[in-house]
Amino acid sequence: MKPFANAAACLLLSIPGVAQIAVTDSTQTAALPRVELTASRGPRNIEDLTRRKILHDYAAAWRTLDTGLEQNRAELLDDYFTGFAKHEFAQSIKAQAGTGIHRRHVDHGHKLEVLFYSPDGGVMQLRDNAEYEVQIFDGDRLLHSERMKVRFLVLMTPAADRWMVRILQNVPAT
Amino acid sequence: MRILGCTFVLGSVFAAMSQAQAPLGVDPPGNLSAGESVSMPSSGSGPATFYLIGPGQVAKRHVQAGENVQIGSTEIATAGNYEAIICTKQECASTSFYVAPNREEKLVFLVHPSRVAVGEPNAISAVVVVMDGFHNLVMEPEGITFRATTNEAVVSSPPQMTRDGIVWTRLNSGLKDGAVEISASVGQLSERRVVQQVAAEPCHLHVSAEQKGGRVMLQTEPVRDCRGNPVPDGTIVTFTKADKLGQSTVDAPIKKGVARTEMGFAGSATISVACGVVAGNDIQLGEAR
Repeated sequence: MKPFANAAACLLLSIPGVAQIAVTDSTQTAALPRVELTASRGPRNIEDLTRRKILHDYAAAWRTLDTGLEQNRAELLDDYFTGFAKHEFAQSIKAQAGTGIHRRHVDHGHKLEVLFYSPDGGVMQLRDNAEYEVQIFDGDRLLHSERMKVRFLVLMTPAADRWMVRILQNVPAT
Repeated sequence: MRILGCTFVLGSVFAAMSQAQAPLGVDPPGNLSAGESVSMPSSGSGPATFYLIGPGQVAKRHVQAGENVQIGSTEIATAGNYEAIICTKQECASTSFYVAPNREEKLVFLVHPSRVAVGEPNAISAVVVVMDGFHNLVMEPEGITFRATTNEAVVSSPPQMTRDGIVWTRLNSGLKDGAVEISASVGQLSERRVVQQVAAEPCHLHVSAEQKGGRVMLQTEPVRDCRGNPVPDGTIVTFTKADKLGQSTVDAPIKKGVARTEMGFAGSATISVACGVVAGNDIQLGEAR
């Protein structure tokens, strides 16, 4: 039964119009995931430019993470990840590469809420309600495929020209 | 004897059938915390490959389906959703499980700015991020106490509860210059940062002049803010001289509390002094006096 399910999943992915990540050599050519900001809780009000930067940079961070996990390229994380998040995902990608595993994320979008924006503008904490399909492969063999609604707590800090993801922690939905 | 033999053979067949019919799978325990080692029962039979896919770790190893799979503490050090997958050549079975953050072990303490003028309300921002020993945000609310210590006084806040791993506060700067130590603590954990409080804008800037031949020596009185705190050395004081030849300025840094300079002098001149937003006294020299 499982091989049929796997075959069905592969067929489904090859149908035009079904959302899927473009497998490209560069993250720059892949489309950004859809990200929207639905609420903000202060204590500092988000400036309009910051809001736009957060939406762009968080989407770009997910694009690099998705591509990094699919192509087993930890160096892609350098652009939008720093600190613990970068360390953990880089470790995960290196372990994947060492075992022949890769993960494909079919990203269906992110809804962000700002939980905390520090008075000095140096830290922003967000909650992301994300929806994506994850497919786990060992070589060419599809081990697992699942569409998920996942919640993340995110800590972002500003760098020279962008906001970087410092913590991206999966938390229970309730 | 024949009956006994038949019973043994049938028993073996039933045992083999029941083992063959046990579906392939893994059964992770509930309520796992980051950094725990765990023994995960599996079902099925025969050689299999076990995969552990998590946010910060990926593992793959050969196991025997039906036996326990050992997961090391470093393999589930990152909090979040994990996928445990067991595969034979024919099929795979997977189960997801959640690993919660462990108990608090580290405070990330962000204090801004590192240097602040005295007498400013809400001038210092202090943010605490509570993490476990594996860099996961601790989600359970924790009571954090903030404390500000100067040479003269210690001020403590009542415990403030974290929300989603974070708590913050704002503090007024004191009225006297010098270092203030700001600390955040919970249980045995404590982190401290030092903020340097410096004088505010200068107050009552006053310059005096001494004429020596064709030169005039200018010197301020000790430059202080309105609370009497000495303005830090290095702060620039601007001396301006206006005479019949026009206007000339000299920017001189404060050294040991005062600013000094020397300017050329020919006939009458007006000398003025300024520092930041504060203008000092004017001096008339020569014929205009």
